Amino acid sequence: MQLDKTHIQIRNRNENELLDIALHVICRFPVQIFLSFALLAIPLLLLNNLLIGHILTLDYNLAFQMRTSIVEETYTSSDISYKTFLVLQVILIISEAPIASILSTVMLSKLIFNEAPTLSSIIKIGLKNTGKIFASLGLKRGVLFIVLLAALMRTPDSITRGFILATIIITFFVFIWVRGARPFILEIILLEQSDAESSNKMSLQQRSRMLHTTVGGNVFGRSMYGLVVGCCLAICMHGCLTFLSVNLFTETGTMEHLDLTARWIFPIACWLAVLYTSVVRFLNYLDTRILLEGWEAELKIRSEAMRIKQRQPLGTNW
Amino acid sequence: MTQDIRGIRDAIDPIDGTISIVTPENITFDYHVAGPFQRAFAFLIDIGIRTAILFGLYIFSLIIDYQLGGIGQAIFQVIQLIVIWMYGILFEIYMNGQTPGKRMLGLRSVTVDGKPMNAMQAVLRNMLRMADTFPLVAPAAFGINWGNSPFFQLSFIPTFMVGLLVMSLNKRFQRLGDLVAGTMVIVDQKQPTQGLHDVRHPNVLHIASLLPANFKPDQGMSQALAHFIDQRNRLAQQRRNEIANHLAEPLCKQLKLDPNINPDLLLQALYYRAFVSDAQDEVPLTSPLAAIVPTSPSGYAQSPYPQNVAQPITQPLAPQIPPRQTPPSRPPTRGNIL
Repeated sequence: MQLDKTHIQIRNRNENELLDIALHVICRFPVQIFLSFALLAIPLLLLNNLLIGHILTLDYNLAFQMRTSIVEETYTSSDISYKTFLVLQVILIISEAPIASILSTVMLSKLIFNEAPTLSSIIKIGLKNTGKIFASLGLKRGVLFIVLLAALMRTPDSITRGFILATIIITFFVFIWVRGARPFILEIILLEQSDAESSNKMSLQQRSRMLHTTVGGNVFGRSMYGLVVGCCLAICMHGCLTFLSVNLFTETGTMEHLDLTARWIFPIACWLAVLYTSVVRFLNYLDTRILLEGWEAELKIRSEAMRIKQRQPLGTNW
Repeated sequence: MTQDIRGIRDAIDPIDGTISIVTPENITFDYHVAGPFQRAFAFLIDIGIRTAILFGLYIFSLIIDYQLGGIGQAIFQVIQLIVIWMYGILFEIYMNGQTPGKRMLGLRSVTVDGKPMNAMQAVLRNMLRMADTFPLVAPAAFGINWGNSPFFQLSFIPTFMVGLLVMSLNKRFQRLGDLVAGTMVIVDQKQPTQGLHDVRHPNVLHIASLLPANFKPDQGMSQALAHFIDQRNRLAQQRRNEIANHLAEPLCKQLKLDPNINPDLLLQALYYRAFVSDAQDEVPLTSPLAAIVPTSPSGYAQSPYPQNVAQPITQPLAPQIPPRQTPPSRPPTRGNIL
């Protein structure tokens, strides 16, 4: 890793600076980042639609829907289905976000350090680490659990569906808390642990503890801030894509296909926001390592050493 | 002008959000440009202030309505228009490129060549502010149904995607208004300095006394040393040595020092020489260096003293350090960052 040959200036930055820089990173390598992200995000988009798409066409006859309320008039079964679908879609997308960003993270790490990766090479790295990623993200962090529960939403019994939905939401919040405290596990697996077997490197747990607990509060705060920004961006992106689709593809210019919007436009907006937040997470990871491993100081010291070495043959005195 | 811009474009590669502007006097200024997320908070603060002003005016107009009848609402509509459109313009003209929100967050609007902007530029960049909020979408796009009230029927939610896209696509994070007016927003706040670190450990002082008396780190090296000392408390000892060794190796050769000197201690000694003391202040130690810094099997020299030497100074230095006696032939000490 050559710290002086990077596409990003190595220095400590605050969270807002990282969010800004992430935009420039995406603009510098748009094709590579979008392609590597789409390779996993598109299958996940289809999978989610397969798991919960039926909710939009369901007569969602939950018990609480039957209660009278002051907003009873606007509480139709399609509204309930629509909102349930959106909630589940958001939960699934946030849960699957690290999995979707596996290839883009590897791609970014190569691009930032001035390498020229090919799609096949990053897929190889991704496949090589599938086991570890599945164990630490899928099993330990409950992505698999949430996906299975979402699949169970297909059960016809409405009361059972209500319980499953509640379980998914509770699990999701626990999951968010855990992931907020240890956000860089994917980066550690992909970028630091890939050749751990061949050498006497630290284990995944040791490495994770070192990286996450030393500046734990900062890491958690940044992770949560990234999540909030991602959500805001997804909402804005959804509004923008809806505006474009309504004005470009409908004759009347009004929203007639709420189903289509919810099923495709909203998830696409969310996945685009995930793409952005995955770049921000990678930059956060770099920033944490810059802080903990003194990369910035090393660069300055090395450039000074280089200057002295260049002066030495000339016999220059201090 | 075009050459200047091309020069600026070259200067901000790699991605850093910093631009360098070279003045005709050949002085380079580095500016941190503020991106959309740094500016968003300033924008929100300004929105809050503007809303508070409008709320106050609305209450005032109701009182006038009550007293005079009808005219209060008309006055409010006119003033509302003025406040909404003139808020940014007037503040940026009279507060030298800053609104209250920008001032709170240490941001400032300047021209692309780093000069203060003029009134026309302030007008242009603020008139085009609305374009950055596009596309405006109806609440129905988000599944929000606010009923049949005409107020909600006419309401639109700004998505700011045009602004975000335009700012992403140029290296100075200029929005549409900035591009038209030839302005940009920079971070005006000074970076806080960490102050002087206490490196006066016997081992460090000993190595400092071994340095040639006329050796003084230059500005570049002093900055690198200051940065290293600032960060070293966060680093593990092995990592400190690893970083310090990059500089220690050529320096030992250049200054004809023992190559087995602990690199971390050597850099602390250099820092001491650069920022704290002149050569004659250092207490000469007579014991041989090899006895103090034995070499470890790993190749690094190990000190028998505690390694975590550098600590930020909380007490003034004067009582501990002997008074400086600068000989007339030597220039006065420079570079103390306290």
